[in-house]
Amino acid sequence: MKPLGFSILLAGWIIVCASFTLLVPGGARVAFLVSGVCVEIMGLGLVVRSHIAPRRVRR
Amino acid sequence: MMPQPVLSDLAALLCIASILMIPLAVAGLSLINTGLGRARSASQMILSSLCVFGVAALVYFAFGFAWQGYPGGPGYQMFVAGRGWSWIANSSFFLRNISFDGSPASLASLFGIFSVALAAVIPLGSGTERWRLGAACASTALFAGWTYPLFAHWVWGGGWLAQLGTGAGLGRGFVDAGGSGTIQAVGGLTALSIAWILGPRYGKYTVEGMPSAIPGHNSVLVLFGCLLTLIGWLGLNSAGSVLLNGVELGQVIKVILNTTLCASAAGLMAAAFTYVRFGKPDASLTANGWVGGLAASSAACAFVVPAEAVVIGGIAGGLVILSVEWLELRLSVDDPSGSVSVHGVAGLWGILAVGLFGRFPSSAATGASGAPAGQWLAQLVGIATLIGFVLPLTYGLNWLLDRFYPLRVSPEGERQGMDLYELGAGAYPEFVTHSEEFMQRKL
Repeated sequence: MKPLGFSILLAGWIIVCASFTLLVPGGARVAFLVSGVCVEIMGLGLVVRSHIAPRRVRR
Repeated sequence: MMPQPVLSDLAALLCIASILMIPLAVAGLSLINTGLGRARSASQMILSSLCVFGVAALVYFAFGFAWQGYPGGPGYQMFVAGRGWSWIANSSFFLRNISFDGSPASLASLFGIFSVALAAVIPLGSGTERWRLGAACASTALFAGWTYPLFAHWVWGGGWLAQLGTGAGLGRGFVDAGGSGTIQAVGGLTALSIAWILGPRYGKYTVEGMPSAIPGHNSVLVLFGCLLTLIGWLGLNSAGSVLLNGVELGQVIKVILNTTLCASAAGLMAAAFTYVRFGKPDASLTANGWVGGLAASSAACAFVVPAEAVVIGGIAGGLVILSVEWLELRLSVDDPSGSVSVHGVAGLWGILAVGLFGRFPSSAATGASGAPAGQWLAQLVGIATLIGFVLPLTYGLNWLLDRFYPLRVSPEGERQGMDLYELGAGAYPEFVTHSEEFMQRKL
């Protein structure tokens, strides 16, 4: 789950970078950029969850 | 390529004086980290701070500044859709191409050495009582040689985040006057990686997953450290604003005022918050709030009015307290000094605050002129880069290091305490706490 979470984090960042390099200023660019941030939040959630689970096993 | 900034002799003198204050912030953070740990690991913690400072300075001198560079310096461009974006600098190793004559490049190298040391000390707080000294130094070498310089180039070295204004029409580009992102958030996210990789201290969580309180051993050290950090931060924010953001000398008064007000509001908010929740103000959480206010102040200190600095500080103080509790209770992150909340969360808030409150005078040489339309988007891109790129990078590097050179001390060392296990003697030999304090030092 950890590698997947970090991969999604990176994917979100690439979407953010693509938004301002490839799109012209306007609503589509903002929407694309915010979507990238949302993908990052999903990835962060996965990374966080993957670090809670093994700790409970260790205890 | 961004133009090279020009500094008057007076501005260069002020920069040097301000930069010389930054080590006090390192000293303050070291005292805070030490005081918030247990007595049996105090000596190891303060020694780790000193060693980490040394490693960070040497590695940054050898490689780091070459990757970071300075505005107007040589760098590698990546061309996307016909436009060049600088992604890494191409200066000489060992500062060989820098002439030490008070030029902006020489001042940037001096500022960088102290800044990277400050950032490198931050993760020590989250690894308290279980991060081996050698492993901390090795991790710092990776941090000062790669992670920090790369992001610092993007923000302060004329890199692609700084180019967002001229290249993509996003306000003035990513703005971070004193390092809320470049120093604090990068350090805070590294602290999170370290806390995740090391795992919690022995006895921190019960079998049911409930956290146990492990109080710090010296709140006097912690609170004195807070006062030292204020002095250091005044220098950090002043030097960063003038040297890296083209802020006029007269505006330094506003920078100093905003930094002080932000920390004061954050500290008082934290004290009030804990008073309301627990019936009494909590010393360590108030200290966390104070430093969180300083971390949040850095990005916007030159671009907001004092009343807005108070608001930024107040929100930072509240955020830090909520974040400390959330990380410990809900996410099982054992962060004894609250480094993730204080530097990571408050630092990210400080970056966002520039987009929400920032006003830019026409003389600020940070990119395009005019009204900062889209500034909040530039700040959002910076935050997305920190979470989406810097966090995986710093986690990956430390995870890889852990495979070859374990970061965590052995269970026996954790049981004895880091002082006795790693150094052979305690920090307070005259105070008998348990018989193991008097084990023979290995010669």
